[in-house]
Amino acid sequence: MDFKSINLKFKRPFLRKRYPLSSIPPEIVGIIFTFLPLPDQICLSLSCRCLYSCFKLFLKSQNKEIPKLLPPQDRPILCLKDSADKNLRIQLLRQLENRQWRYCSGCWFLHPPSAWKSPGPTKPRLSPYRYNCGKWHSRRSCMPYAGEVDLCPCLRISFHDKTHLIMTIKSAREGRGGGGGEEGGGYYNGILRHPEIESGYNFLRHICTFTQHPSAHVKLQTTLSVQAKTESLWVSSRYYFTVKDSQQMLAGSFWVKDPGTWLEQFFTAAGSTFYGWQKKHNIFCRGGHWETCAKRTADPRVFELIVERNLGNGNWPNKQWDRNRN
Amino acid sequence: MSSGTPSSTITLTSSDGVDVTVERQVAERSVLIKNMLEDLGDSGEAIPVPNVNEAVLKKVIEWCTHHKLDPPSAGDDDDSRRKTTDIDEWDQKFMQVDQEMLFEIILAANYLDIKALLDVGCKTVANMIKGKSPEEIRKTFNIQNDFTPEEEDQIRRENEWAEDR
Repeated sequence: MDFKSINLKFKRPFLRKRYPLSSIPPEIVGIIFTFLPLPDQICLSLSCRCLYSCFKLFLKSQNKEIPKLLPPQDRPILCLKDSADKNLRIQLLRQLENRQWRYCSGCWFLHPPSAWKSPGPTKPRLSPYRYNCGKWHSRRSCMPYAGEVDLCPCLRISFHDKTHLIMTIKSAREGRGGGGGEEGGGYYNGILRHPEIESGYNFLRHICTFTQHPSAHVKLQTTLSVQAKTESLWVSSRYYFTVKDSQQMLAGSFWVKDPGTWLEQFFTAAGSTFYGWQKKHNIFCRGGHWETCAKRTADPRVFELIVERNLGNGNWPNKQWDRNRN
Repeated sequence: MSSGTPSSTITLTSSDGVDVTVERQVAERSVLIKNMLEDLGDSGEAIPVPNVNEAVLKKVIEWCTHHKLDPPSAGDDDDSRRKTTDIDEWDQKFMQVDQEMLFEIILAANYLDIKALLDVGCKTVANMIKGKSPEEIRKTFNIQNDFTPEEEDQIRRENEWAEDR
């Protein structure tokens, strides 16, 4: 028996102590890849040539190749924040952001930072051509410089989404069908697809709940309509707050005097970045006064607020949109 | 080959020449050592472990001692073990070492064929990578970026992750 001679055949793998991760044997790197979600696998592979080669070998063993990983996807007209957060392509693109490239939520691609510079008064028109254009929802239509606007805690829209929503409601009003389906050049994320009608008034409605706040539960009804004269998209957000302790939640008159700050603090305290009111502008409420909007209900733990916002029409630049964007 | 009941301890000699005595059951967490003992018998001679220094060997033995009663790990084809990066609390604390030691443990686990320890080490590295950008990964592991900026841009474009506007 000679253990020494047996052990000679096990050669120590080459290990450069300065860069151990890029120097460990490919089979061990392969094991590390198996423990990583796809976006992290790609990011690890892009850290140096050696790991990129290891990743190609790893993919080859699984009959895959890089160009087929997380390919472009058509973005829904409305995309729930939650489903966007879970989307692997979006996760990857966010991780790949650097000085040269920024993630565009309007098309789910990376663009150079110059794409966020406004080209000035190019005016997208709400023409029938646009309405029927199969490419309407594609990345060609993204406007990174226009930013996004929160509709509710779970929905955020781009300028392009807004123009599509306007057309969807308009076409319903004019008896041309929903316009929100795939045949209309875009697809919705399972909500707000077909306009409702009430007293001849066409609107899209979305109802959601916000339960992350420790002291209150919020039911939120978001109604989108188009003003016939200006073709502007109006968002009416009706909040139904059910609070555990109304005295504590509504201490003093601060929430009445400065409802925007109160709402901001409310959602921030719950860890949400939702911003559903105009920046640097008074909240416009139905009836003109905040007090009239904060209706007390029979139950003292429940109160209702309505915030209305004008997101402007389909022309760019757009002051109304700018006032509301995140 | 010696006959009779195998001794309850064996001696391992690290790459830096230090003898470490260890329970046979603990040492047999290593498939390499287990096979050696089965194939060649236990002569009582120290077994050289030329790829592992004393400090790393002692860490590996510490892990094997804690896990000596664990059921044997499944074979290479067991993909289920690769689906989660959850690490139990003791192993997490065990892996709170500097990066050089972490990679030494991984290499030792690979050499000694201790799959469960290899997995814990690789999971620890994977958890250090998760959610990071390539640049952050380079900083974390002190990796030199040998891609040119043009190559990096080309990879992003070729794979349709990036598009000029």
